[in-house]
Amino acid sequence: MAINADHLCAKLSHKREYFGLFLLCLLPVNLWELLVFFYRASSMRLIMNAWEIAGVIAYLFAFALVEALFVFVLLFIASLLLPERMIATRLIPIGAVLIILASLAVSLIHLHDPWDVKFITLKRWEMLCTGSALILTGAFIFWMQKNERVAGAIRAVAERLEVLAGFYLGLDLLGLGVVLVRNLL
Amino acid sequence: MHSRQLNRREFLKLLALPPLVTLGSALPKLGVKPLEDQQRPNFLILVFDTFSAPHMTLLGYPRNTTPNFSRFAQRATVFHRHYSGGNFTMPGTASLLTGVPPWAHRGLHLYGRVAETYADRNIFSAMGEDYFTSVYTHNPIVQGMFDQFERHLDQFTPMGELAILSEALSERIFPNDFMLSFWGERLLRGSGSESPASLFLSLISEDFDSFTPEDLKQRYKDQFPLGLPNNTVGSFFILEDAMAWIREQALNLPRPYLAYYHLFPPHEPYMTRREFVGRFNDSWKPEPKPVLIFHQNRSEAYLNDKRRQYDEYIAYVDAEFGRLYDFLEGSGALENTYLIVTSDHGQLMERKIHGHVTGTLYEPLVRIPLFIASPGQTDRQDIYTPTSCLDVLPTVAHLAGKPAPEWCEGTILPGLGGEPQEERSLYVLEAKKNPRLLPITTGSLAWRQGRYKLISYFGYPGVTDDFELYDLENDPEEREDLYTSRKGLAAEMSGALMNKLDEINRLPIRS
Repeated sequence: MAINADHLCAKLSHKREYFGLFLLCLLPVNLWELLVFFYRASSMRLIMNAWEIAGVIAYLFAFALVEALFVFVLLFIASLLLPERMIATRLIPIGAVLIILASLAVSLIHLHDPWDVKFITLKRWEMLCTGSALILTGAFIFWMQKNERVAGAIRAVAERLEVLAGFYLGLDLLGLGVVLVRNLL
Repeated sequence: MHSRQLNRREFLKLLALPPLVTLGSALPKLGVKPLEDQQRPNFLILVFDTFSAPHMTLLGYPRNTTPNFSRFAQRATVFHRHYSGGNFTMPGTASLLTGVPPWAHRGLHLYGRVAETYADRNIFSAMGEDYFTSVYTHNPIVQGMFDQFERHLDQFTPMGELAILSEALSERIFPNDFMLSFWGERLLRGSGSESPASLFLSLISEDFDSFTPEDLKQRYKDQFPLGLPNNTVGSFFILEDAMAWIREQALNLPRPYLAYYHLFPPHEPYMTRREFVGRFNDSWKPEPKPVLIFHQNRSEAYLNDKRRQYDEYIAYVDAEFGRLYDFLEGSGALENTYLIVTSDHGQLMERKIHGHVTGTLYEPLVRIPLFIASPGQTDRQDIYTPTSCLDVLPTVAHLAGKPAPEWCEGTILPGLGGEPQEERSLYVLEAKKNPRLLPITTGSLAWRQGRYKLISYFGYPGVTDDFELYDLENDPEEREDLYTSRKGLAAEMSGALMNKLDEINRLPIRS
């Protein structure tokens, strides 16, 4: 599919859909960061006072914004392959499925330390796992594409999650502000 | 009183004054040399991280690990029983730089910080404005301390400056907020078996991390076949670069100066240079020591292998120090300069324990080298009375012609203006499991009094008031715990040590 300027502009007109997708990217990134932070908080409490711990959290929130933006950009680039009609109706459900499945897979990799997966140098069994996951994801998306009820249900859940994601967006922006103040003033 | 209004010309002259005054005060910070004063002595302090004194040939080690330090010692004061404030970098270095014990400065934890009071009470502030102060370290823990002392530092060279590769982004992107951003980065990247807080980008970072050091390993494999020396948190360096840089500083720093350079080797990983690999593949094995507490279940074979690697890394440090010393001597850089060589803590390879992240306080962990070569010194001076890292600050102040700060708890070192104190009490504290701002209720406290050393372990889960007692004069290797066999002495000393702990906990805690 050729991507010209008009085609791109038409896709960019779906700002609401893309903003929703960005909010969905914020969710797993922030949730995981908070999970790891609270796991380590007890040892940090030994060393730091409350303000210092808040300073560290500010760096985590600020980074979450960058990381979510990175994931969003990847999804945005991938979405350019979709027809315009699908962006209007299926962007959020497909994006949500991809984000959730990818987050689950990566969380598993992090939790299972001995796996120590390096994506640029995948071993044979890792390639098999990754390939299988991609095929399953593709199949699920295809099924969702055909089934309006599943797509509708995922969209409904995603829209409700956007409220929580909006809360994280506020925290991330606050974190970014704290980081800027600490370094520039 | 007669008064008159300023005319326009006078007013303009006055307006020019504040910027000039500001510029004048900023000159040293900009690296512009202040007025040279060749009369007052300079101080070059070299700290080699994790350098255990019992591993040095001139202090009795059977392997020839340190021929160059031995050569240097022929024209220096050698302190045979010198102790750190703790068993790892934070308490050891903080005590050296502030002249107070760990319970006062509260630098008790890995990547911790000292109480804010000591941002203005340290060796750099003690030298006053008339000394130019210069610092560098490979160690991020020490870098965090420098951040706290920054207003008293004229030259603060960033850690990455002497690194071949520095993967830590925090220092480069957030130099004004190093410690918290470093903590953030550590959480985001994860460390060891800890999951990274960054869900997706940490995977890519791991990919690049795995490539770059390998690439470096290839590039330097002829010189460093085991891998490139590094500080375990992503900074790769070679000691040769640091030594070349120190040579340059010793020649060019504005005088008088106090320079503090804290180099990472021989801290693990033990990545020694080619000519030292296998140098100590000998049949020597120390006699195993009793296993009493906090053991990591390391086998004797493992410990002996680690000991060999550590000794070979020390030999590399020794060779590079030798080159530096020869240059400093030959160039005349030491003519009016005290050269002080020491460490922050030691390393343990016995009793099924390897490393220094442990609750124990045995001699190899807490006894560190201290050599001070005075300008013009031609003979060796040996000091056998116990001394502490707290003593370096008041000694340097004394030699610079300044009074020891009243907050400093060390004393002037014997042989350099102080009196030997055989019966002086020395304490070493390890309390990384204790909250920073609460009384010390969990930790290990060692007390050296004359010939005896008592170690108390308190507050650890499953450990109730455990003590060990050693007669270091008859048993310098701490093989025979006398706590149960010398009941009278044990009761007397343990009572006194617990009273000391109570006294420590009654002191105000500075945040």
